Amino acid sequence: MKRFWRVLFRRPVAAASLVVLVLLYGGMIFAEVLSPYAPTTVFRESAYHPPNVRLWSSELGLRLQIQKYALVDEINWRYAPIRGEYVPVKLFVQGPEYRMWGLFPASVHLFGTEEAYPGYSADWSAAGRTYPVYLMGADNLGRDLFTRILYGSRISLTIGFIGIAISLTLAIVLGGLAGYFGGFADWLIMRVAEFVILIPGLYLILFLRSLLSRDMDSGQSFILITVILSFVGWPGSARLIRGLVHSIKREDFVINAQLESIPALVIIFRHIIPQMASILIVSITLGIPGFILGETVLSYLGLGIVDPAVSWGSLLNREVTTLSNLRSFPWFLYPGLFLLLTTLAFNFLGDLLRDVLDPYYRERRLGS
Amino acid sequence: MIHFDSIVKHYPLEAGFFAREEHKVFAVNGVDFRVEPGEIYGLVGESGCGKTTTARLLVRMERLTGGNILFRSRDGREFRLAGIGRADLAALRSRVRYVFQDPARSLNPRLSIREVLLSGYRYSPRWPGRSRAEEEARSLIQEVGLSVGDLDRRPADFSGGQRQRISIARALITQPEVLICDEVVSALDVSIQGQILNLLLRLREERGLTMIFIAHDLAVVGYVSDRIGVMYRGVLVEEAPARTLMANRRHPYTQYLFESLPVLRTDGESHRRRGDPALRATFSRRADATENPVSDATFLEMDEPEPGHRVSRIFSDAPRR
Repeated sequence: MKRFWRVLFRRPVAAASLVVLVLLYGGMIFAEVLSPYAPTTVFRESAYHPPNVRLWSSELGLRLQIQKYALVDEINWRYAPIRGEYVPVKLFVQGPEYRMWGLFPASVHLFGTEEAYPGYSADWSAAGRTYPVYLMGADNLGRDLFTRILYGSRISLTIGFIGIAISLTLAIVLGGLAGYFGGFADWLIMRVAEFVILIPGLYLILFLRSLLSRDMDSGQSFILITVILSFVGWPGSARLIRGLVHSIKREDFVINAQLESIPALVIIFRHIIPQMASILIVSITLGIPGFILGETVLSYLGLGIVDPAVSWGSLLNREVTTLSNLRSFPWFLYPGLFLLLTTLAFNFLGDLLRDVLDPYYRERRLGS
Repeated sequence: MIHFDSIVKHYPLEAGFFAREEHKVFAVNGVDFRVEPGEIYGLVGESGCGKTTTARLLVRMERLTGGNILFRSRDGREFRLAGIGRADLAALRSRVRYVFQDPARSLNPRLSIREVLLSGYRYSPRWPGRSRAEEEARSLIQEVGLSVGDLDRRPADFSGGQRQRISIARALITQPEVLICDEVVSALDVSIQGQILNLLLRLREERGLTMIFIAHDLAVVGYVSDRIGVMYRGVLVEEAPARTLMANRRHPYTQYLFESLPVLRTDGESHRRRGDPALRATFSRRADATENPVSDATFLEMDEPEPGHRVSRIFSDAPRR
């Protein structure tokens, strides 16, 4: 662990990646407090509203504030800033009620405004609305994109972990057994793996998804998608691991372990599998974005996460439908930016971990 | 006491249903010798002569094709390698430990030295419990000339000689009676070789170890061994006490082997190859391993011209000086 921090210190990119991931996962965990609204809160009159948070104005000086916008073109949803009209952004304001982690009722949000929205009272508990803060713009129903990204990360950031955990566990166990024992076990496991590879993945997913009930809530469909994706994902890594185990088991230290009467399962999982830590870490870090994108594909086909639940995939698919849409409302790409950041961060962190776990890697000394 | 009783090991060259049975490599062809308790038995011979296979058969890294190996432990327990059971094999393997040639490959690079020492010990029948084993590891690592602090480091942090010391410590932790040293010094440079050999000799004195010492370096084998067996093409061709063999080599192959040693000349003479050209012509050809050199089992009988000095009849039709 000490070594981890020492290497991290010398690698600003990896350190930044770690910070990014901590922030993203922190945002995921505390989404209710950090987001100003609920993901379903609608501001009907502010559809396609551009981001409106700014730091400075001559009226309010240097502080977080909102530039008011007026709708100038109702057909193309074009807004124009209103000169001299600003609303201060307050910290820890009352907003829509929520249950923290589904347990504790609360209504405090990290930031928001206290000015009433035209036509409403400012009291959220009495069906009121305050003037909306759009850190990253709004969608076609005037829902805050930042809020939806935070809530969407609950699915997008965990599906990779759960998916890779399931598929890699399957791959390590099956590939490890096949590679180590060889013979009939090897033959059987590899033929099953090849059979799964043989099935076109997308059609299998479509088939399984449509076979199972269509009217599931988002939690159920989330679990289902994860399991489907990992079931399709394991054979590739299993074959890779099988090949590696097959070559490592001939190494002297494995033979030595066998001579010490160490049980076969301990040899596989304690002596052989750790030798491929770098390859496993690379396949984890590359696999996580793969699962996130897999979820996106399913959502795009209408088989994944559907409204009112959100994920980054469903956000992208929902908003980025036409090019003109993108030209007019470029903030719809924010979920893609988050996806990119997550992917890159996982990759850089994976690089770092690979070097930390590599016993032959030596930290470069200063001046050499 | 270990008795290699006419052991035979053949490797099939073809696998599968249509494999031809007769197509195989003849690695060991009826080797027969005894290793007495407390002695160091040196096995020499050129590459591919079957000395490593012979040793590997003893710990069942390979299965015997024929013959048997009998190991009588100091506590009176007897092990017969042909058809040995699982529990017996585990007991045998904790009494007979194998030290590999290249410690860089025989130590798991991802385990600390403590884990290297204890991971296998845990499954030995002598496992005394975590804290006792830890104590033993500490005293053992000092016994082989390293320090207690080294237990937390990894194999990559050590030099070749230190790693071989770790290998030896690892073998010794189950308190074995027999140590098989398979080319343990050939991966090391000469000054380190001496240290490791002296360590082995000291350990033999202190612990009363029996050793089977395999090497191709005749000087090394001559230095450590009490008795030496010479192997050629899977057959033991000559066996004698080390001193006797150094002075009086009777089998033509042994003569050829010892004469192949390069000699450092200081008298200005050229580095001409030594030895009898006739012997060289007979033995320097690379033998075909797929051909059984022993066509008749009676060839394996050995003459004993003087007590303790046995010479095989096979291959001895080559010109003798």
